[in-house]
Amino acid sequence: MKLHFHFSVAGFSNTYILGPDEGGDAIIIDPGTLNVALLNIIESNNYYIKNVLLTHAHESHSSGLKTLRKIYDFTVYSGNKQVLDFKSAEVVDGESLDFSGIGVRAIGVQGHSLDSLVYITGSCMFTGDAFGAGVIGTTPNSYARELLITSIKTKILTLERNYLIFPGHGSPSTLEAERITNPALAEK
Amino acid sequence: MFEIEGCKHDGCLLTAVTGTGYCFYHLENPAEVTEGISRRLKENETIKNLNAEYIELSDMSIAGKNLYVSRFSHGVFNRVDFSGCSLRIVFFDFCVFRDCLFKNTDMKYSVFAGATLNGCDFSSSDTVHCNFNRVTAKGCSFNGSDLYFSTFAYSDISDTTFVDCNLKKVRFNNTKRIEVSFKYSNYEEAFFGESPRL
Ligand SMILES: [Zn+2]
Repeated sequence: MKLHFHFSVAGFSNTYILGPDEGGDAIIIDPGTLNVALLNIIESNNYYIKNVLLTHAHESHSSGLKTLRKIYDFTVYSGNKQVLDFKSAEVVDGESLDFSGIGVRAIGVQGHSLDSLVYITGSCMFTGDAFGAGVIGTTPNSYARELLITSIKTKILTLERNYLIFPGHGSPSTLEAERITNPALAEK
Repeated sequence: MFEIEGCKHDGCLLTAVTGTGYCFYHLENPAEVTEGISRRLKENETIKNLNAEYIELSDMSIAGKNLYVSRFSHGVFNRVDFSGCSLRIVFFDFCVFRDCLFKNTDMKYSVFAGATLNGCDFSSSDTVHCNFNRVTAKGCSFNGSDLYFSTFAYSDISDTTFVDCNLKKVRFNNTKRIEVSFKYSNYEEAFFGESPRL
């Protein structure tokens, strides 16, 4: 399994691709845009985008769907029934998904948005805008902020093992580093 | 690296060094494994999917190598030369680096969170989207580097220079800085106050 990242200047967001070493059906996470650089990653690795995972439906994480659809026939997975003009398989908190042997677990972490999901596969955790390197997501009000912090603390920080953290914006991290270095998560 | 194997030793929560089944504390012959990894790093142009948590390497050069999706968390590096390396998704969180060279590196999406950097030279590098949160950096140089979107939040930085750097979207919020120079850098485009959120 190979992991690739792509940074989109539009929305300053990260897109990730998970695909088999030898090419084939791949998963794209948060296609905020589809440009030539991202298409090159997909095509030079002989991938076919079969599944799209959205951590949430904000445009900086989903706008690439429109162009992507012109090339690949994929299923969208998100916390919604519909994203932009696309039908989405609605993923719920705690759901386990299987993509040709790649197991993905979804954890609902509301606060940044009502549809926010964190995806765990292998040792990797794709956190969208729930939290990233030393920060948590923006929230519309203080209630949502408390909800977000509580969700991360009770559903993510309680996980026993360490994970590699790949957020929707900014640099990666590890769960071990976030436990120690993320000030919002260290708050009592 | 996609799925990092755990150490097989009963009750151990550390990860296994690639190809061995055990962590550095539970390996029968850690020196031999370190030697093997050191050889792998020196003899190959590209190193991928290597997990070597808690490795200790000293006095060696891996200059110009490509390191992809690999993990050296909690490692100790003394006088290791990474100059000219290309690093993508490489984890050095909680490592200790003493007098290491990262000159002219092309580093993206890599993690140094919680690391100790003593006398290290990161100058003339592309150090983009890298996580230096809560590092302790002393006597280091980042001069002439593009640090776009990297973060140094809550770090303790002393006797360190960021001269002529691109600091656009770089986070320095809540850092403790003593004798730190940002001369000729666009520090007005970095964040020093309230941390931006996602
Ligand atoms: Zn062990």
